[in-house]
Amino acid sequence: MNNGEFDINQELGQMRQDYAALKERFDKQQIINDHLMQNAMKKDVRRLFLSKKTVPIGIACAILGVILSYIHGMAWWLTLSIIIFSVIFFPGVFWVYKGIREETIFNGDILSTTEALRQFKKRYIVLVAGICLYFFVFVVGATIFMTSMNISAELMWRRGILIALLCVGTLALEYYSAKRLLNACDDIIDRLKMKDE
Amino acid sequence: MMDNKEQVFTQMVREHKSTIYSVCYMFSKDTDEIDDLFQEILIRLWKGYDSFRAESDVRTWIYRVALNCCLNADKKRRRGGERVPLSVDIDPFEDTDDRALQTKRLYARINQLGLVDRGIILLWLEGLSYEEIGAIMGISVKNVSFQLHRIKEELKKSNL
Repeated sequence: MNNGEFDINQELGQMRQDYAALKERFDKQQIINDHLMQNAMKKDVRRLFLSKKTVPIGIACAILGVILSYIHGMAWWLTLSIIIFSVIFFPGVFWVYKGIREETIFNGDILSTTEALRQFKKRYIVLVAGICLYFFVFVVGATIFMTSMNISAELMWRRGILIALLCVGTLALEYYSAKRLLNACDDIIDRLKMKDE
Repeated sequence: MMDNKEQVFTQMVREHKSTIYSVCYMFSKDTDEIDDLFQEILIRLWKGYDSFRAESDVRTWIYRVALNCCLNADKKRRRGGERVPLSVDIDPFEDTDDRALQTKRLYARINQLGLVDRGIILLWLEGLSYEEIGAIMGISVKNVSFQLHRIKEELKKSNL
């Protein structure tokens, strides 16, 4: 046994002793009070069960849009936009939250939980991008349709650029806020898969 | 008044409080962060309690939830909402007696490691088998052995 090996074994032995002492110290503490337990039991985690309801809600919205259009004589482009939104948004939400159950996701092992969280966040960004694209096309399309007779080309360009900037800004914000989480997830997955691959 | 399920759950948490607190401590920078993490873990344990009861080892489950919270919890959400102070007389970050110094020495050693390595070494310090560590981390026994060897090498290098 060389000196380095001896040192690390001693070091690890010391760490185990320190850890046992730490736990013993915490064992003697009360730590948990009734208020804390009640708070934990009553507090709701964010619900992610939308996924089960989103597809029927989406279909219902699309049908309602068509019915309203028929009864009240709603413009066809507005009906179309409701249907397109329903087609993008509701199945999109279902896709994003598929396989994710907020109540139990942290019960799984570290690798599978991290992979699920990373997939969720990536899909969420794709959904946001889809919604931004939809709003861009909708607003520009609606503007063209409503004012096509008398609007100037210059004004159209300005509106288009403004909406595009808003969409890009929204996407950039979403991406920036998700980037840290995605990087952290990638680090964890890379570390854990180092040997298995 | 607590019902039977709540009483059993509370008892289980009390039995494992030092494990949960130790994990929180190793992944925190101050006592506020320990409070936040501890409460997040309690909420997650309670919400997942029904699905756990069909499974086997309570210690493995608690470690899974605790480490998942520490590694993956959304920091913004964790900081939001009401924070109930824990009933702890000691402050592992501020105390300066001999035992506190021992605790700080351990904290310094573990904190020089990355997040995943910190989790693995904590499980090893807890005395869990390679099979148990693998089940918690989601990796093979062979990989646990490889990871621990690598972590030990890192600790050795950092102390040279």
